[in-house]
Amino acid sequence: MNTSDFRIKKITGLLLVLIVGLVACVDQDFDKPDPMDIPVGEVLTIAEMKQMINDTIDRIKFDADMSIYGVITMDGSSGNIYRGAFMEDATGAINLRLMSPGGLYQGDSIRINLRGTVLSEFAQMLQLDSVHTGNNVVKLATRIDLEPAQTDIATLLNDPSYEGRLIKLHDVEFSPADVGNKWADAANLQAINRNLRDCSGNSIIVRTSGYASFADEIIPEGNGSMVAIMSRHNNDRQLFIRSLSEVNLDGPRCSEQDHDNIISLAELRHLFNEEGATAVPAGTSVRGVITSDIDNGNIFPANAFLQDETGAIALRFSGNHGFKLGDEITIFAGGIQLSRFNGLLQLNNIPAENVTLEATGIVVQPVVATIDEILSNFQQFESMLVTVHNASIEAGGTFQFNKTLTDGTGSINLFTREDASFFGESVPSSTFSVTANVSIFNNEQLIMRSLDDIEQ
Amino acid sequence: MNEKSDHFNIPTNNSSTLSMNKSLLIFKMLLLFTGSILLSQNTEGEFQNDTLVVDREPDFEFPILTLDDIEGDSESYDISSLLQGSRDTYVSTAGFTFGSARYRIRGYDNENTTVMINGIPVNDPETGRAFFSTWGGLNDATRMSVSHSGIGVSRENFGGIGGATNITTRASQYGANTRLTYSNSNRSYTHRAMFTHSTGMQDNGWAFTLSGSRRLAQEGYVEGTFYDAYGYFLSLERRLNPRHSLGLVAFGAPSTTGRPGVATQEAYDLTGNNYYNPNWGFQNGEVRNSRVNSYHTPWFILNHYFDVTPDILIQTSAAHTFGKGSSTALNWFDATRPDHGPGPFEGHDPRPDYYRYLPSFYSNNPQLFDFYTNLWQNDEAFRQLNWDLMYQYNMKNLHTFNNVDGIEGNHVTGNRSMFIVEDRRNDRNQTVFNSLVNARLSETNIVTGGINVSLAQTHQYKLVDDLLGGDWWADIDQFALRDADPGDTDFAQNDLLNPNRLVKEGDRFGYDFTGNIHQYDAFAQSEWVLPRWDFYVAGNLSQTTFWRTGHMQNGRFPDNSLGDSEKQNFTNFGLKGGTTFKATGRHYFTANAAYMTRAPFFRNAYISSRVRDELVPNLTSETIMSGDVSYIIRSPFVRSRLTLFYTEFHDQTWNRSFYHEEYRTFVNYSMSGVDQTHLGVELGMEIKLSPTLEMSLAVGTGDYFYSSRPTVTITRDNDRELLAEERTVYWKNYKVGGMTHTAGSIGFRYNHPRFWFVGTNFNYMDDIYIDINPDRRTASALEPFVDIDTGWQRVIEQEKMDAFYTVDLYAGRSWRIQRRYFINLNVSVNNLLNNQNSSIGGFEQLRYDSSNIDRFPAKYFYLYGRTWFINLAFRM
Repeated sequence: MNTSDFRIKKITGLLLVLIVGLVACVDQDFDKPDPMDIPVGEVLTIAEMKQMINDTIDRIKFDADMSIYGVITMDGSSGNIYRGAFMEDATGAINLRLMSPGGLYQGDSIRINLRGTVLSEFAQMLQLDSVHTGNNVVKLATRIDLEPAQTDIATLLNDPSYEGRLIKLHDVEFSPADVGNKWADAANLQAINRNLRDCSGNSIIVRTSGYASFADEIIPEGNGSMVAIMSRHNNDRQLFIRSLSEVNLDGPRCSEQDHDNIISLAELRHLFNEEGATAVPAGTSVRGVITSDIDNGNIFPANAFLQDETGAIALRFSGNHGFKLGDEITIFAGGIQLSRFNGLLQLNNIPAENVTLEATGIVVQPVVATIDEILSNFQQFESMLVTVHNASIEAGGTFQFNKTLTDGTGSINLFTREDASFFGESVPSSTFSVTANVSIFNNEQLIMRSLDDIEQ
Repeated sequence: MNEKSDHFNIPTNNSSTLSMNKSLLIFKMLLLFTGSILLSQNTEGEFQNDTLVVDREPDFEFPILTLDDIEGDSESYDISSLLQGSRDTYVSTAGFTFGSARYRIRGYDNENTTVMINGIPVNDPETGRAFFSTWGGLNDATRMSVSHSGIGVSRENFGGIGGATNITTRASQYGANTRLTYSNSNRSYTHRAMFTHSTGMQDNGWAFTLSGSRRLAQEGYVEGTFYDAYGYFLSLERRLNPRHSLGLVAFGAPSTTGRPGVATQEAYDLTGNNYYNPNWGFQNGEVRNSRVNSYHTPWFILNHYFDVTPDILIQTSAAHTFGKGSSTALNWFDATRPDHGPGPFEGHDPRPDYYRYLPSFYSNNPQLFDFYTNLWQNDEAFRQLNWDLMYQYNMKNLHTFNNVDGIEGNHVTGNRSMFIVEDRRNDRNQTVFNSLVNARLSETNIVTGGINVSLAQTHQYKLVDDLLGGDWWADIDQFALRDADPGDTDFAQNDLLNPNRLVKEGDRFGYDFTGNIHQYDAFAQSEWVLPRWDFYVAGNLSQTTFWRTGHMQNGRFPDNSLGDSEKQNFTNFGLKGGTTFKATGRHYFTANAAYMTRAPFFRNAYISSRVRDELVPNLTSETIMSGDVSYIIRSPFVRSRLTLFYTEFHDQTWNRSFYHEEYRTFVNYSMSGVDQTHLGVELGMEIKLSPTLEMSLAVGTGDYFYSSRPTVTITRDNDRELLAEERTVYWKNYKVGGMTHTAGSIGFRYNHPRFWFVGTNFNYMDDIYIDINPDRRTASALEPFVDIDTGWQRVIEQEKMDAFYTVDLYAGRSWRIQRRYFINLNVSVNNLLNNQNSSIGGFEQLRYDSSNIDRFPAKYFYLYGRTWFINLAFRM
């Protein structure tokens, strides 16, 4: 074999080797990385963490390994909150703000390593911001259903320890203005605040986002229980609903509930604490007869005087009421405010739905009294129907606005409204008997119903 | 049978003096050089934007010829077939030199060119495009081809206005030899090895050719890309008797490649790299690409050759192809961006070039702008995918999925994958019957006729490829989940018959349907070759039927997603004709014209074929009219062709799905009545300046533009809500973008008599327009503006890239050993000056914001810098 042949064979061999060698692999095998290690570090309770914010420190960015444990009580899947979640442990709850929406679900029991997150106050509520579900969160279990704390609106309004927590309220209903409307404005993606109240007159905001999946649903009119997350925005306390299945408002409203607990008007007056306003306890009703006369116009059409065997009280309705002289009515007063208006004790802002007409044409006998008696025991006589004998108006003239009435024992203002049927009529020249309601507008006064109240 | 290919045959000289033969030899070598460049091989089988790209890696075939070879039978047969398969200068330059700039001849998409193997059209029935990757790496075996570009004569098929190519793989046609080739390059792949063994027709009546190939790269020119491909080829022929032969061809080219990406100029500038690839990232320190394409669709062809008489050939074939087309991508649900921090890193998209992760998103916040700029410029892990974190997040994403499989109370707890790699499949299945008759009726008349029946199915679905450390993925549509009415659990289901399914690796999910496409074609052609004139005329008739069969009942479209859709039928025809006037033996004039209609492709016919069987409105066949005239010179010193062409396309449909900023949801965007006009000039010249020095020139310039105002229908992807109907798109006269309209190359080549050569090309590209977004040219897009606002202009103007030039250099040498063995070594360097700053095209994003047009800017492609190709071939 000559050298050329050999050379050929060598070249062939070389090429073959090259070619065979190229059946080599292109390495596309990849190893799985090790699981992420999220250190535990120092363990805090949520309450301990929240206490780190105080008068001197208003923002903390965590740069060490510290962990909190808890359960997610609300996530963003209903759309009612966005890029956030609420987390709760035995000591309290916190609002989490996430780096990107999703990732945490209601029922997840998690641990958060606080490194990189920021604790601060937003609109006077604490939140844990910049929580990255990938880098900060370890999930320990799912479907942990935390029991909501049973509480009431008054507690929620006053006790800050409920901030962020899952709560359940009983015997609550939405205000009449909200019933029948939608939870939020889905068309314009706008949130709406609705008013939830109890039968004691306490109310709290229920806020729903325009992005919530149930935004277009109608607010129920009944009274019942509701589960929600308690939140705060500056001075507003507000509740977030997780799901409509937790809203069970299908019982009778406060105003429709049992009215058996009727108290006397004297007892009602006694409830007033003489400082500001007092709400009538839940479930309390009063019954009496209207002793004012809107038809003759000497009383503002939203006002009235009510009297029973024990006493009387001024009424201020939330709108023109239409109750006539002699109507016997029952007022479901639970939650309605007692207050003094320029000295006159009134049951204030009575909604029409709270009043039931029982009978008409009931005559109330006025109490005979002298002006001196009235002024000396004013609280006993306030709002009551009285008759004063031997009365006279020294100045004469006509019934208009303030006239001084005397009966020999004392004098008192007799007030006539411009809208009164007898406004401008001449006052009697000689003595007469006058029947009127006892009232006060900074100064004591008598309010006649009509010219029939004058007897000569 | 001696098949004449086209009008450009060189009148062969029969003189046999030595000197004459020598010049002839050189001349033939030149032709061989041009002729050996084959259209194809390295185009990846993309499902979009595929072009007729010639192998960027030139395969120089330069056998040493001696007198013996010219005289000998086998070699001359080989040469003549190569001559017939020769490309003209313009076409070969366009494919070979301009191909790297995504040039398209006459601006046509490659569905306008019919590609055949042994007479069987292999264009994909679903899109009409030819995927050269189907026989990738089998250069030796697919070297013999007859083709014409533009309107012309084809003996196998009516062809398209872009031309027709028939690759012959008939075993008896190969010359007997054995070839071993090794190549090295820095382009898509690094190493290539090929071997081919052909026997040619042997005395025992058998011929076979066997070929194998391997191409690989751990990382290609673009970072993060890899290449892993094989090729196998077998062609057998049995000559039963002098008139009948049977052939069997089987080949396939399984390939797996990691894809390059495309990004905005901002990303390129920040990374300092115009080939920045957002598709890859590190996993345990290794480079992993999220977009991996994998194809393997082998063909089996049975041919029967029947020489009825020496002048009449009937070829009947049956072929079958099947296989897989796979493309992976990331998918994510309820995810947080995989990032270590420190933040703020908001967002859920794991892709590093999501618009919210670029500094420009923070243009109003200088601190964050600087922060992100610094990360992009300096932190490689930040600007690529973070596989490690995707795994780690998945591995701890404890989740309970309720009512799995629709069973009340069946709650499954496990690690839910936030991120997965999904595999989108398009598996093709096609059977073809074909029969051709070729008859030389007289000295001057050749008649051809044929029928072709193609029954194809494209099965499209997706699989979970990699759970990335998690236990399962839930098969529900996340966008539908967001839009569903409360309490409607069906809406978001992808498969109502298997609701709430948890899928694992290998499970099919998301969508599953088959496109059925049946085509019946018949064509006839007659050619007359007269002393002064050649004529031809041809016609074809076809019937196309297609329909969709859904295999999953989709929750958003429960009534029209499962089962067979209505069958769509289209009848189409085509007519073409042309003439050549041979003014002298050296000067020719040709003119061609064609008129045809074409059925819409399945891919463009349905609004959203993955989930429902609703058709694009106003679906109709498209109409194509084309004509060209040429002046050709064939002389010993000059070969040239000057052509003017004009083409109109009418009533095309354009169908895309994307996220629409104004409607804030995914939409299906269907345009009908799209017309295009392409007109231009081509010049190809080869001039022999001296016996050893040759100059070539190729220049093409054209104007390709939209010539109508289409109307568009926009539907919400998740339900049938009509968002817009009969909206006018004012894109008339805008240029068809994404490619070069003007290209030119001038080259010089020196051939030394001692069998080595060296050459250089200087290339120029211009008129490169961006592919535009039709929705930006509508009245609604311009609503925020009045026409004097600068904002108005910015929304509607079409960007043009800067012109550029490149220089190529190449050289080669061959040796002959012992009269039997040949060794060729060829080296070529493209873009010698390493110009990496020239954009070769780009596209406007479909998602846009009129009031802030820079928020979703265009994405660009850049020309590769200096690349080489070294080829060592050994032949015996």
